[in-house]
Amino acid sequence: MDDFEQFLKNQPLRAVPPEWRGEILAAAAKGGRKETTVSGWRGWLWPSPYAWGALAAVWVVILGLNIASQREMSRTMPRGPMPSEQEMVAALTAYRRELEEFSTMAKAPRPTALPILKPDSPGAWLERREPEAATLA
Amino acid sequence: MPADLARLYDDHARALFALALNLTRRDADARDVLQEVFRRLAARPELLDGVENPRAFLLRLAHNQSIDLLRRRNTREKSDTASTGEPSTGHPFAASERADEEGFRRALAAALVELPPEQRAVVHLKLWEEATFEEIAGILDISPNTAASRYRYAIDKLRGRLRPLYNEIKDLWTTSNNS
Repeated sequence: MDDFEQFLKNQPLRAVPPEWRGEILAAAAKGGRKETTVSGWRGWLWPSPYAWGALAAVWVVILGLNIASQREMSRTMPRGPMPSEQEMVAALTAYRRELEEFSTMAKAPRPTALPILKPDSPGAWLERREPEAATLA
Repeated sequence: MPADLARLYDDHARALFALALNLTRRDADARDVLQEVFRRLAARPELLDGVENPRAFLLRLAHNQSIDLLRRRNTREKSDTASTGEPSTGHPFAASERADEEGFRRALAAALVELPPEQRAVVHLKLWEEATFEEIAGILDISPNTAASRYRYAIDKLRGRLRPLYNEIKDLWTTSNNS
């Protein structure tokens, strides 16, 4: 440390105003007690209270949408009584019968391909066109 | 009021106040910093458990609080275009009855304000807290090399700014001591 630095170092700093002591210590003690009562929930939210708040809002929206969609589903679902056991058996039997019919149709022989008709000679097409040409003339 | 808190205040308040005042340059802000540091200590006395150097720990709290306050103040003053901001109300040095000494202290305070807060904090801790670069590094959460280079850079700036006044005062004092 040279002379200049030593000279700076010798410049005395201001003292704290004496009247602050009692005020600061009293306020600190009072504020400290307050913090202990609120530090619980603040501690949970710290250091990103806005991020946690936004997350909570998103959850509320999702919950609202979920409840709304449940209501919509219950409105569109049939509200009649459940079918009896006999009706269920009859419906299943009919379904099975239809399946068997489909499988029998699938096993049946396919129809043979139709023969492709070809003109005997290129002149055949020309013969067909002749009446059109005559009409135009 | 806890006795420990009062003892901590008596032992360290002056140092914390000086650092906060050097950084914020407003009595009201320095008081806010001081109050916040002691409010935290009152709320969580366990903060000092196992701390080897309470002074360094409290200086760190005061420094962080001062920087937070400066950032909030800058944001507030930028957003409030109508306000020109509260003027600085004081410098960190004791008043002197000698005009030349008082003049130098005012010039020193003005030169310190021109330093960025991170350099000002290093200069303050080195000169007026007599902290080593290792200790400064711990307080400011930087490396000792960074602390040393910031100090050198800041001292060079202060020297450039205050050298003429310093030489004049030194000559005056030498003459008055000889006569």
